[in-house]
Amino acid sequence: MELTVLVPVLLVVALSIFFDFTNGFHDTANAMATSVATGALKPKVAVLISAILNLVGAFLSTAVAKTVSEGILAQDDRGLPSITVPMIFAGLMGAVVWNLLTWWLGLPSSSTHALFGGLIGAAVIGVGVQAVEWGGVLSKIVLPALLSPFIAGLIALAATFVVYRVTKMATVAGSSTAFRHGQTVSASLVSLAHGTNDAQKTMGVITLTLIVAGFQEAGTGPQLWVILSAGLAIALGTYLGGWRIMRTVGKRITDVKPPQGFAAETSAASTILISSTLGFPLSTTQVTSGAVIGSGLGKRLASVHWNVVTRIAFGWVVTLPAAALVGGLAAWAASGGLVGLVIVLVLGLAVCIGLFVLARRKPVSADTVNDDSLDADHVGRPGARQPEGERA
Amino acid sequence: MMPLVRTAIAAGSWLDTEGGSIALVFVVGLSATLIIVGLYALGIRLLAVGAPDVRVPPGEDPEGPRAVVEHREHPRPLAATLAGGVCFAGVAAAVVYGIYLVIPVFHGA
Repeated sequence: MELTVLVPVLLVVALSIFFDFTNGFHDTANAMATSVATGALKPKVAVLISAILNLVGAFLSTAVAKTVSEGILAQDDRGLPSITVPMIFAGLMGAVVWNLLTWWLGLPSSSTHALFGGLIGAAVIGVGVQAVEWGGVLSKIVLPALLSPFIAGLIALAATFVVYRVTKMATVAGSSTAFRHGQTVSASLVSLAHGTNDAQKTMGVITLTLIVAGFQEAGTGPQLWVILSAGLAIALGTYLGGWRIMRTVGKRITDVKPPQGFAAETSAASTILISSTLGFPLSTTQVTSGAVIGSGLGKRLASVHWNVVTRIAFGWVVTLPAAALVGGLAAWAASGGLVGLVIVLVLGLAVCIGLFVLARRKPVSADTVNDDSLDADHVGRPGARQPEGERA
Repeated sequence: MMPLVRTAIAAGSWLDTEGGSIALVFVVGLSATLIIVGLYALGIRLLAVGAPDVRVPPGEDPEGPRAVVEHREHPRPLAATLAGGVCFAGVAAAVVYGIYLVIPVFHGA
């Protein structure tokens, strides 16, 4: 076995698993942020439930894993995209770097967009524009991303209105407690759905790599060790918790109360499940954030912090192109053989370590995730929160 | 019913297909969500029959410092308990259906 084949494959496997880990702690916020914000679940309990459900979800289905790049990267007659293993590595590096950057900024951007952005960038630089199916990119990524927050937001707005109306602004005896329980159930469903989707994408990338490198038959599904390591990585990432993003979604968009949390999570769960059932899957990240915004609007118009929403929306728009840019640059560098690969690896690791160090300067943990005193944003600028009186 | 809807939309260009799917996701998602949260909120309200509402100044948090929670005035009538139970059972059925949708083994995907 040649070293020039084996080394890139091992690097891709390792980086894929690391990407899955960042995906876990990046996306925990999606399902559990509102539950933590309303006190429905203690922070550590919330991430434990989410981690277990993500792990379970990873084993439930491998359907997504088989078709991860279908319709996005152009395929040859064997059903394989025309990219090489170093290009996959470069694309993954783009995804990891972007995921960590948005995590440091506390932005709930889509890990899936980061992954596909990185791969698209690497494919365009490494092979050419024809390596990407742009129609598929538009209909499978761009369009759902643009529409998800609006669909989920409108549904959550209506749900919040109904919930408050029926329970007389939640003054009916026992409402808040009941909403907390309801919210825990719907948030768990979101976590499970997340696990059945996101861990699959990493398995898909590893399997794709093994097939491209000739270690696995084309058209076969992921091997057990791939499923196991992807599932464990996403679960571990989830358990370690993306407290930074969780605080953005649960506290900074709008201060979520139990009826809103219930309405938002139920809207998110049903939108995610119905959209994938009808064959038009929407992004978990964008659906959940959209639902939280909608639940803020459904209570009282003034209670959504639009400056935070604007920053999140900006993150959504730039995620794919930014990851593509990093992936493209990495693909260009990695095209120089093993030396290029090592340079990409070293630079990428340096950026990751740098972001972890930066994050430690202003940490958000399980203990401070709901803390209002941490009002500055993650870059350290003073927060632009509206005073409490303006929101009620 | 679903295949019929799909065929009707697919007759147009790809944009029509996407537009149709989006509208369908929105309509089905909105109806399902409103039914579920409506039932749940109604269940809460039915089980609270006989217990006074939390008294709180308008616009304030019903769990806030100025909220007044009083004891139950009279026991809940059996009809309210039963009707509330039916509401929660409806929500539970929706949750089970949700789990069914998440796990592909159940529907052969």
